[in-house]
Amino acid sequence: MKIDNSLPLEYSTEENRLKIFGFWIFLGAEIALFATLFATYFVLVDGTGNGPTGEHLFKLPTLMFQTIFLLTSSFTIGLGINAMRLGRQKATIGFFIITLILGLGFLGVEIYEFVEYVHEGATIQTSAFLSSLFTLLGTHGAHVTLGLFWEPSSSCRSKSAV
Amino acid sequence: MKELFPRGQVMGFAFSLVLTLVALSVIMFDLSLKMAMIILLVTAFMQAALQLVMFMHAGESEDKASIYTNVYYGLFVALVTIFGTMLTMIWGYQ
Repeated sequence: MKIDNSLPLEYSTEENRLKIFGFWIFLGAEIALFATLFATYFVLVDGTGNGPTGEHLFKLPTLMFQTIFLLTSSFTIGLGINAMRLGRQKATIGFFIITLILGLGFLGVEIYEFVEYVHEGATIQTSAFLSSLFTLLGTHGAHVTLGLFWEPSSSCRSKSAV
Repeated sequence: MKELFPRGQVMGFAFSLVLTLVALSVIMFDLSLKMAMIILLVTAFMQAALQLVMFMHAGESEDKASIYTNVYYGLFVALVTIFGTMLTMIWGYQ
């Protein structure tokens, strides 16, 4: 395997560069996927039927916790990559673990939120608005969950390759 | 220790929080729907661009052009999907 040491670690081989490029193609598809879910939500947002409206349902503190968890997690994974490029293995793993905990925190708050909604009689079957909302949030939650498994598995693989 | 917290990334993180606060101002103050939508759209796009460039390192490698082409194509499909859906399902035309 040809290793180019002038580039950051993750771009140092052809295979790694291709994997990163492949991930960007996946992200392009994600942008399109979430556009369809948002479009559906925008169309159905007033279709609340006998169920609660968004104004009834959305609580500021849970939304803020979720936002801050996700924004902080992208900051800490950025710091992790920076530490990795500096060759600071312990710091890298530390930042990755913090990132995973923040991801778990987000999921915890989201699951709590879903349980609250269902207790308030707002299920995926209650109204068109809630069907589109749960589909949108659930798809996003599924992505975070997948990332939670993906990140450690790719870290372990790269560790065993070293 | 300092090398573990690059200035650029710390500033980027602070800015991402500021963008969230600005978006939050929409519900704090009584704004018209049009004004609120403008603020949300602008902060959302800035937030997305900040995340991609600052924290996901778009545009650092040689295949920069292909990566940006791909992201712009995804955005194009997204905007056509959303505005096309709004046109056919909500706004209609005369």
